[in-house]
Amino acid sequence: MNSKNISCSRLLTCCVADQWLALSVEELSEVVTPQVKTVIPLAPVAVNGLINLRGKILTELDMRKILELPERENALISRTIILEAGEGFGLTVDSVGEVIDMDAEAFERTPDSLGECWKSVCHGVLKQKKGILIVLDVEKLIAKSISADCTSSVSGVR
Amino acid sequence: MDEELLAEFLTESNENMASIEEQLLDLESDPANSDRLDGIFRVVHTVKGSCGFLGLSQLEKVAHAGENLLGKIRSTKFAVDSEMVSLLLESTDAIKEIIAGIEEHGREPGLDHSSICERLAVAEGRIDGTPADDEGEVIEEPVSLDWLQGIDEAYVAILRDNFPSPEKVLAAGFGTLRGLPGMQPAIALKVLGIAKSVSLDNQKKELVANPEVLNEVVESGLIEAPKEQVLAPVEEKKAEASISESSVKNQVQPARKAKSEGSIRVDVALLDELMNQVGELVLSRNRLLRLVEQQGGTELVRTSRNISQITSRLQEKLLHTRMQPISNLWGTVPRLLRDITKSLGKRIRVEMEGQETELDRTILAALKDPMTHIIRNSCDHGIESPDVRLRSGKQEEGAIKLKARQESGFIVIDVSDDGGGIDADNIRNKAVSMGVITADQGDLMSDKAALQLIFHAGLSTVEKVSNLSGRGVGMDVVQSAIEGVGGTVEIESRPGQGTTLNIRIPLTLAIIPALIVESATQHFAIPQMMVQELIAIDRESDAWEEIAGKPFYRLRGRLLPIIALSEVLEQQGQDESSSVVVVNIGARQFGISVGVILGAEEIVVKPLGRHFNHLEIYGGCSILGDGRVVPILDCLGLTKGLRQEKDVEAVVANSEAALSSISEESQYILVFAVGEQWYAIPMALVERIEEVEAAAMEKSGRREVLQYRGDVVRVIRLASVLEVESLPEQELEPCLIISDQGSRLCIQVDKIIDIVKQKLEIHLENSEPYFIGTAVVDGRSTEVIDIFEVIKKVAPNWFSSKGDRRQRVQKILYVEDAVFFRNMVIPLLDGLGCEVIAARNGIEAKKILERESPDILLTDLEMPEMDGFALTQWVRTQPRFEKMPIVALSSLDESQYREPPSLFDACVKKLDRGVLLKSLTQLLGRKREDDSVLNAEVILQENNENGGRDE
Amino acid sequence: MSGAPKILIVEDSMMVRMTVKRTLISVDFEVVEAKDGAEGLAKAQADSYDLILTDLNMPNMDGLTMIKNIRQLPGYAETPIVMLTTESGEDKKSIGHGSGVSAWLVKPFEPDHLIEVVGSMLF
Repeated sequence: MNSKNISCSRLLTCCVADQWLALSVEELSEVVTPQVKTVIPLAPVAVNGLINLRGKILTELDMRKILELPERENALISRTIILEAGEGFGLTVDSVGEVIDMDAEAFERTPDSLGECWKSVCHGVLKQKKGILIVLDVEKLIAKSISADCTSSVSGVR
Repeated sequence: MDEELLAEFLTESNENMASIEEQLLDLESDPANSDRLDGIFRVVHTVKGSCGFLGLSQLEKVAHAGENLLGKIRSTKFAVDSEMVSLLLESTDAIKEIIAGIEEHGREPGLDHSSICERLAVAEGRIDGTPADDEGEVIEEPVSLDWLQGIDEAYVAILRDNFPSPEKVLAAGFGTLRGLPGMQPAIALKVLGIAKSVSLDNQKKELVANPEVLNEVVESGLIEAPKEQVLAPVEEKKAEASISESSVKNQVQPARKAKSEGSIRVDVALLDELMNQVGELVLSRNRLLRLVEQQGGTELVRTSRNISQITSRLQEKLLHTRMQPISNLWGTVPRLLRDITKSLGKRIRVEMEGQETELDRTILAALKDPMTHIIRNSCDHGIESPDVRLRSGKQEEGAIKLKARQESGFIVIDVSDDGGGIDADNIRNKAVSMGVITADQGDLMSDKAALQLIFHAGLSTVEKVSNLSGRGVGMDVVQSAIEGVGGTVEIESRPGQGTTLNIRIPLTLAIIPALIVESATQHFAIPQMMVQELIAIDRESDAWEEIAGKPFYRLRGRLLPIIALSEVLEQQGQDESSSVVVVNIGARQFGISVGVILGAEEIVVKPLGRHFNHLEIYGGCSILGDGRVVPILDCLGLTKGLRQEKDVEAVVANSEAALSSISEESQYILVFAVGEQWYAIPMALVERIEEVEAAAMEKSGRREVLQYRGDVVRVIRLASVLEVESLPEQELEPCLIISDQGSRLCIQVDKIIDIVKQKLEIHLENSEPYFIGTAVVDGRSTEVIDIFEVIKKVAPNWFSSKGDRRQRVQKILYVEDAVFFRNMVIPLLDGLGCEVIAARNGIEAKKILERESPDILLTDLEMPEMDGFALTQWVRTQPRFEKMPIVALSSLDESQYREPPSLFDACVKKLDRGVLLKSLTQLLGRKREDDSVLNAEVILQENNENGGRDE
Repeated sequence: MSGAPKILIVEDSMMVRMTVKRTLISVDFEVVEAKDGAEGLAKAQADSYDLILTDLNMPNMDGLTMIKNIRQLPGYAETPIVMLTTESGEDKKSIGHGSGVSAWLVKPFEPDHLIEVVGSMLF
């Protein structure tokens, strides 16, 4: 997804470990409740497993695992966002918020102050009243989930 | 430009151009063939003609120049030479190049083809300059040997010089022909048969022209067929023959003709999409069946079965639409060979068999590169230069044979050459020097196993080695490409005689039968085509062996390296494995121990996402009938670590070497049916096959007997022993006569199927009392009957009635590592009335000899731990066994022994029951029963001897 | 092929018939089988053969009787007839001059032997 699209699209907000994130709605197809997963041994840590979404097999990634955050306490209340990138992925987050309009004014390129781990998946931030909203870069996110190694600090969130 | 018209033009041109290469090459070998020339001209003319409509000026230029030259060749009846064909080939290449460019970009690529156009024009001029009466040359071409169709080129070449016509062959006669260097008697006979038939045909044809000669000829006995049949069918049959025996050359055409009627073109992408949908349908069907099974009423069950059947048929038909004949792939081979041989200065021809064999188009596409590579290698490194070939007594021209056939769910492709072959020792040495294997491993490795090292990346990437080994670089790439479509490749070679690559590929990729297994509560699918068998395991069984810290399972004498699935997958909370899935990887077998085997299911293979690219242990994933997603295990990847482990390889090679005596020995086996089932028995055990009139078998008490050659012979009905349903009684019942030292048994079966000569791969199943295992005959799994067990059960006295019970029981120590032979031989020895002590190798035998004093030692030669030679040499040093005769029982000929055969008191070949019994009875100091006059004396002597020895 | 050599094999042992058939079909010959002498004679009468292979001891009509009868048939005066005998020696004695037998082949034989004998008898 390139930046010109971002600036004029609408965003879906979601929450992971109390941090609010946003994704362009054009990059996702739907949001589903927790799915039955098939765990694949030896898969990268960020992979929850494979899910069968109406006959289509998708790799489910976990936002918390990508960011090396502690596992969520109650897996049942999570939501999985179905991404359309590549062969299609599920991205599991703690919860989803609402669809908002992109406010190009408030958009800012990834600020230096952001933690390394966030930077690696971030497209930019939106400054809002309640705090900053991190706009995710799906391609970066997927690349990171494959390399799986997020050894750098996650202090930016904590 | 009209898009639709252009698309139509491209498809048509591609089709036409696909065959033109072949046609040109045909023309080169037969320059006088005007039909061929017309065909080529038409193709180029059509291309040129369409260019005008479509405004393809660049293409038009090249095609026009080509057309002009072809036109000139045609009008002047110029006999094309190799140079001319090269030029024409070049021009078709240029045409193809432009067409490909248009396909890709929608317009002509800006390529410069002026040079080829010029040269085409020059060539045209050259024809004008040549006198047109060159025809004499054409006619002076070597006499046509077409009548020898069906005879291997190699033999045709032998005949070419001195016996080019049927008449000459017939005049020479069998004695002369079979004596020709390089000729086989059977081929000589075949050639004579053809010669006779062809010369008869020729005479008949003459008769058609001059009917008045007819009477004369018939009377002279030349034509033996009934008179009314003489004339009419000749022409017809000729026509038939030329189609059915269509050689490489004219093969493409009939196929093409047949296709054009009633067929339409379908976009491949559409077919692929359809295939996906049917895949989904199969999955849904599976799910439906499962649900119906749980809660369905009869009506629902019936309907869903119906749907299930239709789905299966649909799937089958659709798979069929994706199939293409392998000739599509091989069509490029003659051109490839032409180019290579020209540059190498070698003469190589290609022979093809089974071009009509069909393969899934995806697989076909994937095979293209490996095939080219293999052929290139054969030309470069396999086939020797003409002078070398002549020196080693071969014909100048080398041959590459391509053979394809379907074999129970697989396509088998053999690519063989008659070149210099590969010396296994060279590979072995190189592999050792490069550290791919250790010297010890090298020693243990069979030649066959050593040859497979050529696929090892470490070996096949080194240029020098490859030249040395007679094979080019990159065989590892060939292997991985073939494995990529689920196939396997093996190499066989005989130094000096040639090399064969044997490729096995599954018929289709998309939907496969799979085995579903559980490991640590998770489910996995294993493609059935990799699975050889399943074994339930008993952890306590002594079949388990730990060698160099690795687990092995001894399966029918063969050491099977075992990997635990839960360990490879690093699964937590692993459960105790209960089963082993035996998988075939090339020539090797591995065991994968799993928790539970859940069953088999047809699954649609779907790709795994990019997160799993680095994991070689998975080949994809699928959705099971219950909606669950399962990963599909890739057995190649799964066992990769194990396969590369040197210790494991050494252990396995060792155990293989010990076993090779069984599997490499082919023998005649008799295949017969009882009821619907096929069974087999080694031919060596059967004295005769008879068809006995049912009425001749009489009841005598509870038994059935048969009067046979003055004997009353007990009849055993195999159906009742095996408890299978027999066919209704026939007027003539096929019977096997088994004979042992003059005493006979008659085994009644339902039908004799065949006698085949082949390797008996024996799979021993301990649970089956009457079977030594199963053998595969004609792709059909066939139970091998353990005839001794059958006899023991039904007529237990049959063996012992002949053993002499008056004697002290003599002891035979029998050393044999192969269970198969132990099971075969022990009943025989029992039959001699001897006590049999069995040992599995020299070490065991030595231990037994510490406490026992057998009367005779019968030993196999090739065994693990301590072989028969070492054992015999040791025994010969022991004064205690000074008098003990030692008999070697081996599948080797005495000439193949690596120690002098004189070491033994007798040497017997395996399965030669008669000789074995004779040697044993002699050495045990017994006489055959029929020499009964001498018996009393002999027994006396024996008693004395034995008495002495016992003290 | 319209005129491939046509061979008649007369033998009561299916095993021998099968070996013969297999071997000769492999060189594109046509092979017709008969199970005993009577059947052999009938088949020889109905059609013409380039060569006949026959067993000696058979039910219904033994080999020598059959040969005698076949030799009487038109066109069979010169046809090579090969007798399949066992090792015992007894059989060979009865095959002398005047028996009509052109050659013999000792059972059991390898396919190659058969090829040699048939080849040298026919061509």
